[in-house]
Amino acid sequence: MKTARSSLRTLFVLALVLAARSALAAEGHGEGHHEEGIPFSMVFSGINFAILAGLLFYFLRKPAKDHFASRATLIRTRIQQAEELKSHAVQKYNEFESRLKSIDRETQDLIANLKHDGELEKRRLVEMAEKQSVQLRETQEKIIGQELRKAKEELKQEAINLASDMAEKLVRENMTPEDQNRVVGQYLDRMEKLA
Amino acid sequence: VKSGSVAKRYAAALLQVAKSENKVSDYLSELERVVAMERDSRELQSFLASPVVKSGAKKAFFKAVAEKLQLSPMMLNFIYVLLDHDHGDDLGLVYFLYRDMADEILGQIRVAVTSAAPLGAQEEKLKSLLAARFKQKILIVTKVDPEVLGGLTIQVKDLVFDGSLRRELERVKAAIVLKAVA
Repeated sequence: MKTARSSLRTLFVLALVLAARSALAAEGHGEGHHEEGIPFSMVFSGINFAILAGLLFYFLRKPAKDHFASRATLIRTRIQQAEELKSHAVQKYNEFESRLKSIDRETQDLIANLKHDGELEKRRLVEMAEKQSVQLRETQEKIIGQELRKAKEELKQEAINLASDMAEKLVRENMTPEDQNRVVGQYLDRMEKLA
Repeated sequence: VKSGSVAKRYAAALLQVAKSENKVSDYLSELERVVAMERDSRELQSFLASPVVKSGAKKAFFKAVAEKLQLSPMMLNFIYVLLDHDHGDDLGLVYFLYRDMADEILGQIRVAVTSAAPLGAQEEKLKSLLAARFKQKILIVTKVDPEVLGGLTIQVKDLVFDGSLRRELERVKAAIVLKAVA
C-alpha cells in the first residue's frame, strides 16, 4: 500500500513536470505563431487528465476491485442471511400460525371435553349426594327408631318400677298379722302337698 | 386359709373331747353363749383381737364371766388354750366349725327362717314339715325382716325356699317386663 502511494506520488510529480514543460514549450512556440485551432493548453490538460486517469485506473483498479468484490460478498452474505432470517421467520410464522389454528381447535376440544367431564362430574356428584342423602336419611330413621324404642322401653320399665313400688307400698301399708299368717300358712300348705 | 385351718383343728379337738365326755350338745350351747356375747359387744371383739392386750388379761376376763355364762371348766380351759396361742379372735370361726360337726353328730339341721313377723304357732308346723322332708331334727333360727313384706324364706344349708311376698312381687314384675319386651 505504501509502495503504491509512493509510486503514485512519483507519477504525479512526473506528470506535473511534463505538463509544465509542455506548457512552456507551447508558450514559446506560440509567441511567434498565432495559429487558429484547438489551443495547446487544452490539449495538454486533456493529456494530463488522461495520464492521471490512466494512472488512477492502473493503480486503483485492483484495490477497488478487491474492495468492491469483498463489499459485494459481504452484501451478498448479508442478503443471504437476511433471506435466511426472513425464511426462518416465515417458517416460524407459518408454524405459529398453524399452531395458533390448532390451538384454537385444541382449545375448543379442551373446552368441549371439560364441559363433558364437568357434566359427568356434576352428574356423579349429584348421584353421590342423592345416595348419601338416602343413606343419611335411613341412618337417621334407624337412630330415631332405636331412640324411640329405647325411650319406650325406659318408659315401660319406669312404669313397671312405679307399679311395683306402689304395689310394695300398698302391701306394706295394708299387710295385717292375719294376712301374714295366711300367707305363711298357704306356703306351708304348698310345702306339705309337695312333700 | 391359715386361720381357717387352725380353727378347724381346734374345733375338731374340742369335738373329740366332747364326744368322749358325751357333751357335744352341752359344749355347743356353751360356745353359743360365748359367741353371742362377743357378737353383741364391739368392745369385746376389739379387746379379744388386740395384740396389745396380754393373754393373761383376756383369760382373766373369761374367768370373770365364766360363771355368768355357765361355762364348764373344760370350756374355760379350751378358751385359755386359744388365748395362749393368740387365737382368741378365731373363737367365732371355731364355733361355726364345731357347730357344723356337732349338728352332724347330733343328727340335726339348722334352718334359717326369715319372716316379716314372728311365726308363732306356725313355727312348729314348719319344723315338723322340714323334719319329715330331711329326716333329721330341725333347729329353727328365726329372723324378722320387714323387707320380706309378707310370708317367709327358709334356708337349709345351700337350699332356699322362698315364700315371701317380696319374691312374688319380683316375679310379677319380671313377668310384666318380659311381656313388655315381647
